[in-house]
Amino acid sequence: MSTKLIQLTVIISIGSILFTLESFIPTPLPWIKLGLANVTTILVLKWYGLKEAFIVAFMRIVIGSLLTGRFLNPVFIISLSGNISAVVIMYFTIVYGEKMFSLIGVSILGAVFKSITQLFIVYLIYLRQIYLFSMTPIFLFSALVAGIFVGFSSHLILNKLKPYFRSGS
Amino acid sequence: MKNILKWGDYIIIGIVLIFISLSFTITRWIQDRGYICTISVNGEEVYRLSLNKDKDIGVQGPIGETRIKIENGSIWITDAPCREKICQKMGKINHTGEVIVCIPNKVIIQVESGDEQTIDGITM
Repeated sequence: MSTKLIQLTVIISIGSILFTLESFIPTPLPWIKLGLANVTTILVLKWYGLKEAFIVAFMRIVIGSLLTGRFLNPVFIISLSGNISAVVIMYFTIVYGEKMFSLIGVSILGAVFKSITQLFIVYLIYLRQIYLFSMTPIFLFSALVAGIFVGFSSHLILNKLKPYFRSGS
Repeated sequence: MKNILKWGDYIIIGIVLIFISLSFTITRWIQDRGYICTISVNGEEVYRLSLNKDKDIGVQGPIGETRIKIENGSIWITDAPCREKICQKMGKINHTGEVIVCIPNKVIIQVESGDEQTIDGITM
């Protein structure tokens, strides 16, 4: 139990650092980012389960947004809603689609659902203009690229750390 | 990379690519849709109309009357006095920046975006 606590804490801190560092990387459009912190979500889903992934994602966003100074502002809420949907869809693909999908497919699905959820949340809460959806292709394309990258990195990390973690422990 | 991917991944990538191209065409269609058209004869603007209202009008040019029709957000020339009828063959236009020109009768139809429902910028 305590090992699990320590491991989750370390993962949360790594995720927060990635989340914070990533906000300094310049991107062509302000709403697009790589989502490196999703690597931690995927790994926790793989090692532990749904509940732990929710905790890790939530804590990572809270700590990361406290560090970057946008706690409880629109970006925080958008990011949280996107992450919740991403965690749920990635959980189901990992549990029920292990033979079908590698981690790359899992993270692409997560990224795509995250972007779509965020778009709908922005539409529903902040900006009720149908023109918002003209950004869908940009979001989907960036989700695809970021998903492939994140999935590939989490695959590498998972293989490197295999001796230290047992699946489902 | 190749030995990591499983068959489901290719399907997902394919589906996402299809959705990207689909949403791209749809949004382009919505985005570029013009709302205002201007009709000018001999260099002077004679009409400035909304494309949302169906209308059938005629404008008098140097060699005769050009019939212009607006329907379902598109505008086109139904009848022209000129010999070549190129303007009629240019068909229906509805995107921002599209133009129909009838040189003999000096009629120019332009579609403009109008300033309806455009976002200047979003800051987060």
